[in-house]
Amino acid sequence: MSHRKRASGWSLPALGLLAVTAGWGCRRDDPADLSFRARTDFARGRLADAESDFTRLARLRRLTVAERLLRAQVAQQRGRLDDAVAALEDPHNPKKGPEAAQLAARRGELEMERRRLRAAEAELTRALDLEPGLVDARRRLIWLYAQQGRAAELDAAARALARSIPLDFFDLFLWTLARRESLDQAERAELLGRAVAVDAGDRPSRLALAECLRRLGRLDQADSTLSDLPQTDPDARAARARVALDRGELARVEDLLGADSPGESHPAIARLRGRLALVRGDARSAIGHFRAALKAAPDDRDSQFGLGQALRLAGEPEAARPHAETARALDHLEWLVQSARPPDRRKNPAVLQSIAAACLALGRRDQARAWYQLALRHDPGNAAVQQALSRLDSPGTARP
Amino acid sequence: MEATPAERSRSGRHSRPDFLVCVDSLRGSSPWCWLPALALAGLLFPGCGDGRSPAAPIALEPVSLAGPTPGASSAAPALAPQGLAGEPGPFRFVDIQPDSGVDFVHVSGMTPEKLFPTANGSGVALFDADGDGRLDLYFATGNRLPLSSAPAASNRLYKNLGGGKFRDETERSGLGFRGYCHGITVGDIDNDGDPDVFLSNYGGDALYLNHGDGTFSEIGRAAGIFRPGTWSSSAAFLDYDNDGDLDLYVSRYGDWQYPRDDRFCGDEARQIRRYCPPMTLAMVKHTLFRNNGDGTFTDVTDTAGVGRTDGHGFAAVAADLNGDGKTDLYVANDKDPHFLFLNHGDGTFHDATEESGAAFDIEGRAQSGMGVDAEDVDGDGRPELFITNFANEYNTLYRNLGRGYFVDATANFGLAVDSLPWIGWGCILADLDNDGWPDAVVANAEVDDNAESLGQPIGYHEPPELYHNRGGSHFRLANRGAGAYFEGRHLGHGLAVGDLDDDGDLDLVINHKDGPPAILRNDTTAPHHWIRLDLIGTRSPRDAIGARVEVAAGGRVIHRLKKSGQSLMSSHDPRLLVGLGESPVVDRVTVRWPSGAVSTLDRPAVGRTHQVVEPRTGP
Repeated sequence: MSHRKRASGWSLPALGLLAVTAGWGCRRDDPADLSFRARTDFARGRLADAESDFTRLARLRRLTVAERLLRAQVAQQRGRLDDAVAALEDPHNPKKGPEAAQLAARRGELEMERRRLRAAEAELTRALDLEPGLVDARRRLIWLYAQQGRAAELDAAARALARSIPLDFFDLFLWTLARRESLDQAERAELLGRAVAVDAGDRPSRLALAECLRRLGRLDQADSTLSDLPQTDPDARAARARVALDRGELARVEDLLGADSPGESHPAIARLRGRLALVRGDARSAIGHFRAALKAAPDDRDSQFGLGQALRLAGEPEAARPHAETARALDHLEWLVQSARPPDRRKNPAVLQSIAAACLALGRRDQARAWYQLALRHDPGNAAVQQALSRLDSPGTARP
Repeated sequence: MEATPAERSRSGRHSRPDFLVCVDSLRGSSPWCWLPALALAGLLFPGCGDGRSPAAPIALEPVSLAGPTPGASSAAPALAPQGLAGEPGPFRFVDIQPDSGVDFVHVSGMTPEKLFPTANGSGVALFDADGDGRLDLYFATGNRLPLSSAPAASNRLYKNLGGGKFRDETERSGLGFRGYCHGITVGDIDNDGDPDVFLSNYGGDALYLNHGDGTFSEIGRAAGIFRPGTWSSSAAFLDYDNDGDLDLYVSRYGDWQYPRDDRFCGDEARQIRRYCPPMTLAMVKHTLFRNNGDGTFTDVTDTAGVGRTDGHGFAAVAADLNGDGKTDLYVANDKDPHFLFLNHGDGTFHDATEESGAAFDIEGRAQSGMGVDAEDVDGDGRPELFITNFANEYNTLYRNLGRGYFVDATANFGLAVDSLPWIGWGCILADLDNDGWPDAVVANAEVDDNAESLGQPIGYHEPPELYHNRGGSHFRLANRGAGAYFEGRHLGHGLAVGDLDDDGDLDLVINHKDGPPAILRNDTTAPHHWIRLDLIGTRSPRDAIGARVEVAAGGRVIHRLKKSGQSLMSSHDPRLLVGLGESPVVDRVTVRWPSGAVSTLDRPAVGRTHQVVEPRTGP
């Protein structure tokens, strides 16, 4: 074999290799191609490759918002939440508009997963300020409020959600029972415990955790959870008093609640005072305390019931009746909603209709409408539900 | 626990479609790049929208949304083992069952299929079946379901021979019911001086008439109380219409027919079943039967005003709860409001359930009521109500405010915390150390024997609770030092109380699910006195159910009730044993009969039994 021939034999593969190498090099440096490959890798579940693609891409140019979102998602799915949050950071992030809302919503989701509920709430709220139609962000906020037992905020968020979309059973479950402890306490305690561990200054989570622990009978833990809150914090005082009451330490309860002033405006403290007075059989004091509690929280079942019972004891059955009836209606509503939890009952139009009617009886028109709508989704041809909805929405319908 | 589609990620629904975001991000790229990218990122897998991650780990809907299993706690209970230690109490009990001659073993019929009725266990009755003056023992049992034509296990009656010994008299007595029996309620339905027996069953109730010689005949069908296919938990006798004979309230758990209602609850993927929650079961009316006085009964549920349909019924206690001299009814329901029916005295009741304060816990939540009792625990002359509940629900003590109003005062009495981890069944409020203050006992047991296989670190056996009443102001757990039984764990369901050995203190008998019972002899030594009252009605029913007793001794008045149906599925010593504390003298005993008659005993001797016969005439 001649030298020329040998050279010719080497040259073709070498040229091919060169071409491939050049092409590879070219592709590697092409941001568009890298971006495409990152998405492809992500879509195919090759998370490590996708992450590597994004790292290289970030060296070539600033990532777009969508790329940052996806990069964060890659990190999130690899269980690296801190990296996911970091992936969203960029000094040039938009401050308003849909992309800013998306970024905030995703940050909120990640913070929630990191159990930094305070930060999550701030991000989700910001996302919704920017883009009120972000349904998932709203739902996460509702969930967060439910975990923290923040009924007023939950109510507002659920109303806003109901204006955007038809609510599903879980949305309605949380909304309707916003003022009741409707979620599993052990599950909540676990979540809130983590929230407080990563963010000691998260007051709502701390208060809610203490209440969960109390309900679970972990009184010492409840006490220590509250120890970081100031003595002057009325919510914390009420929470400490509830723990002491569970221990049967009545003197400490009285001490924590302070002077027996019927005008006490903090609903939890007033309610507790009312309960204590009722157990003592002191109907007059109980009436004062429960009335004060109701001023601040008119929809509170315990205060309604307590006031009704105190008025009856005081010999005022007529005055007691509306409060007793409201409490009874609230109890009935909770019973209906709780009874609807089994999966087959959640889709039963008759069950949902009865819940709607119970909401309506309490003057909760928005909730009633949402329950009727849910019933209708499961049984679109249900004439009774259609009529009920129509009556509800007709302009002449008086509010109950 | 019934499984829901747990860990459902709610992200992505109703959110902005992902491909729009992807398109945004691809602006400026050449079409050969973004078209396939869309195809892949937008179509093959979800991409980069608002919360459309394929595996967003946060689960907005909790596993527990499907609700607690009937008996089933969705979470590990807040077990505080040290809580059961408590302070040493005054009580001492010894389980004499192993040497007693009682060889009964309960059969629940529980299998991995977890058929609903097999969850609830059975009760026990203490009564003098043969008229020899001693309390005999009668145990109820279930069987495998569905019932075969010849069920293997039968209820068993044991004659009390004295000295802690018993002999099986089942066959001779005729009380060997073979079926699925939950509850035993004893009462003299024909006022002939011997106790008759009602059985609350799954599959149809039974009524046994006592011939006076310790033998019985079943008359359920002839008496009109047998309803095939019904599921009853407990019952209570009372003279609701004040005609002098005992009527019967039967508490129904629900409508469960096999195989129609055999639902799968638990972990479907792993095919591990747990008992279903009560809310999966249709409720039925409980039944009030009027005693026609001729051996037959008539269903008067609706006309009497007790025909509610919203209660999975467990126990019912009949007693005068509002002090008006008429016998009322309080019914513990499982995850539904507890019923309070106040007797008008004219054959009808006022349904005071919701207004009473005794329907729900202090926060208005329906609890999983099982056992129930009523007694004046704080010495104000008004009976409190006590109900056992599920894990993570305390056993509730409702303080009686008078006039039919109650308030959940569990925490005030120190009863809230220690009961939280356990599932309570039978319970009694009874003065176990004769100090004049009713103590409390609760039989506990987990419902499912396989909770651990579902990832819940819950033991099946649970410790009983024994509480000492400290002078009417609060209770303290007193298991410690009370004997091996109270320091162990069991499957306690039915719980009955009575003085088996007639030594002046109250013994306890507990029917254990799928096991032999405990017969706990009370060996508490306390320098306390007692008096026993055997009430014989004449105008009122002979059993005097509904009577109220006041014992003035030691500067105070002790109030006790003659009740029926208390605890769960069980019947108790019909005599009233009243502890007097350190007072060696009783100034006066007053008996207020359901008829309105009043009897008094001045300075009766302590340490002995007094028969008090209702005056046939006069006020």
